[in-house]
Amino acid sequence: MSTRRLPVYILADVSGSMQGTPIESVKSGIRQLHRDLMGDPQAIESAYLSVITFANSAAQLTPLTEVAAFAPPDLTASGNTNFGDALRMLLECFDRELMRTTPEQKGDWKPLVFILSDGAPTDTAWPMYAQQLRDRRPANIIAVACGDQADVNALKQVTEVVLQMHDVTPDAFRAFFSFVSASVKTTSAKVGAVADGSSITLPPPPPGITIVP
Amino acid sequence: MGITARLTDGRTIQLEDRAINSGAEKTVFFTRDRRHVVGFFYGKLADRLERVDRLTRILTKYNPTTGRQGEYWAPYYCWPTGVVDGDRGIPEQFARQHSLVWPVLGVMAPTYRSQFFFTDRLGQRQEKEVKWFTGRKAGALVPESERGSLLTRLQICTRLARAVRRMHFAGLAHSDLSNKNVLIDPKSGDACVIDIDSLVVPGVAPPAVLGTPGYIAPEVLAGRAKPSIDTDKHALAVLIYQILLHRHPLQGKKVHSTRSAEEDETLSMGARALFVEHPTDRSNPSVVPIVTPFARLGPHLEALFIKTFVHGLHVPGRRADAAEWELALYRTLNQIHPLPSGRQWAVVGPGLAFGDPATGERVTAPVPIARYLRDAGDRLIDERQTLTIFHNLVLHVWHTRAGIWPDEHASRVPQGYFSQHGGKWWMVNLTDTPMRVIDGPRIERNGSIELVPGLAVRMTDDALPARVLQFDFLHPQ
Repeated sequence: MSTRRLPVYILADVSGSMQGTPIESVKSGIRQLHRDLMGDPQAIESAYLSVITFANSAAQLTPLTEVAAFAPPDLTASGNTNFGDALRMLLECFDRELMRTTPEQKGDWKPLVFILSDGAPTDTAWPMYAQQLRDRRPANIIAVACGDQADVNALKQVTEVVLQMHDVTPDAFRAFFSFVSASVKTTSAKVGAVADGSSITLPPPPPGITIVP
Repeated sequence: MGITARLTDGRTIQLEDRAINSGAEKTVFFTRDRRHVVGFFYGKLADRLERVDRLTRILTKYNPTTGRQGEYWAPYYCWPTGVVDGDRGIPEQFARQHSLVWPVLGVMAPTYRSQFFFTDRLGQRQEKEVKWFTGRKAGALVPESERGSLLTRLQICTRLARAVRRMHFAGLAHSDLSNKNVLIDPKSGDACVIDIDSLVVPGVAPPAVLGTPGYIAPEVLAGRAKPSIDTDKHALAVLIYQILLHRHPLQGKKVHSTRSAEEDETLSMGARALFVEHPTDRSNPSVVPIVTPFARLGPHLEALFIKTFVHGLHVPGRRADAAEWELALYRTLNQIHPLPSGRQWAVVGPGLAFGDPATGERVTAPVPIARYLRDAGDRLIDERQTLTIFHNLVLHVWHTRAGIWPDEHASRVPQGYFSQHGGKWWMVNLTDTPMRVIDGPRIERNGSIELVPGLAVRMTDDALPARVLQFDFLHPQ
């Protein structure tokens, strides 16, 4: 291990409502993100990517993998929106995959998490996990509500940074994934920049996506 | 579709409406002819008046790329060439769409020269950021033909030191020198300083950014100082160390805080920073195994790394300045020797091993060297420098005269050369000025002399102090 890792988790809603254009847009978005990061030597050195999907239950399709070895996964959409299981899986991945700083070892940077959802949670357990994420603050989380059916309030329970994608179009997804790659690049270059290192600076959201206040 | 923008100097430019990328402060657009880019600040700009003031001064009074010697310095920087300032600069709707500061503020600069791009192993065109050539994983994507050699990397460092020296002599601090803000071309030995607009200009408040992690001076991270010429010296030394040795001078294994990676990093690069090759304190060994210790780069660079990373790490005033680096790099370039494969070089000189520790390749034949002596009239003074000689090495005025360096003032006309012929080594004079063997014959134009141990030659007939080269041979151990 030469330098600290910047773990990046993508938590994608693959419930039935994502079928068709949205799921294809997310797939090509992840491929585009990977291509973008392969053009940034800093990200190649430090960023690690993982993809978690959630529908009836959550699954980690790609374990945390360095950019150069990452293969974008195939996604299919069907079922409910088990948001609670997604958050549980995220916390479990943190416990299993993140390297903590110990007196003997330099640990990982605080992970970046991007949550995409187009609906409302269909489970009841999610507020408990959302609470854990809010209390422990183990990561910098950015959530994007895709379209008007997405439950902005549920996302707000997880993180203060919630973006609203108004029109769920391939262009909007493309713009969002450009924003993701810009965020990863900025973060991998800027981590540890300031003494109070807790907050990160994000690039401006792309056209068509606004920050939910 | 295009966007029309108006510069403060009255010129009108056409911009493409799709952004190329977004950095930490600016979103960047091409002009339609793609010969320039304009970076517009986005989000909020707290110190707008100072920014405008700073940009104006950078474009005018402090601009080394205009006026006398402007042509010499232009390739060393991507210096701004114009400013867009105010609500009539571009359409408001365009600004809103890209979340730009309103009224807009933008900086125009030339597009990077073509040698600062390469095609990676996946066929993608990439900017030659330093990290491609110093990182292990990123480096694996760089084609062999782009990686350069110790020679071209020393040339790159020389150009960076020279570019920074020129700014510092004018009183300017770059304030954010880093692997993101210089482009290098190891293939040709070229380098260029970019992102000039956050320069600290005398008389204007310093910018809010502290710099880029890994290059911010310890006292700045510890909150005791703002970016300045002294902190640039730290960043320059880090860059030189990385480009030549492929590792970071402070990134070691020592952990300073287990509370968070961020806090540990702030201490490791800041208040408790410690050189990974500190000669006596070994508690922070490098995170990457060291194959080539810094001392292997020869005595001139070794001294400056000690000065900057041991004595000056927490004492800014003791750091080597850019002019010292430039000089040490010239002296080191005088000591490099090609390796038998013809692709790589090694620093060869008295007391140094005869090869490249990274590849194990060695020079196997005896190597002629010349000690520099200064003729002070009644005695010869040892200048403590040596020239390592190889077949076809060309002599320039900076070899033949004391006090001349291959900088912006020096003539590039060859003065002579060395040659190996018939198992012997020769020096040939190409000038009308005779060289004189001490207590011996004169070497006229196109005349030659065989190099033998102890031979001493007065290189010019100048008034004192003139340079004398005293020859010797180093033998492989």
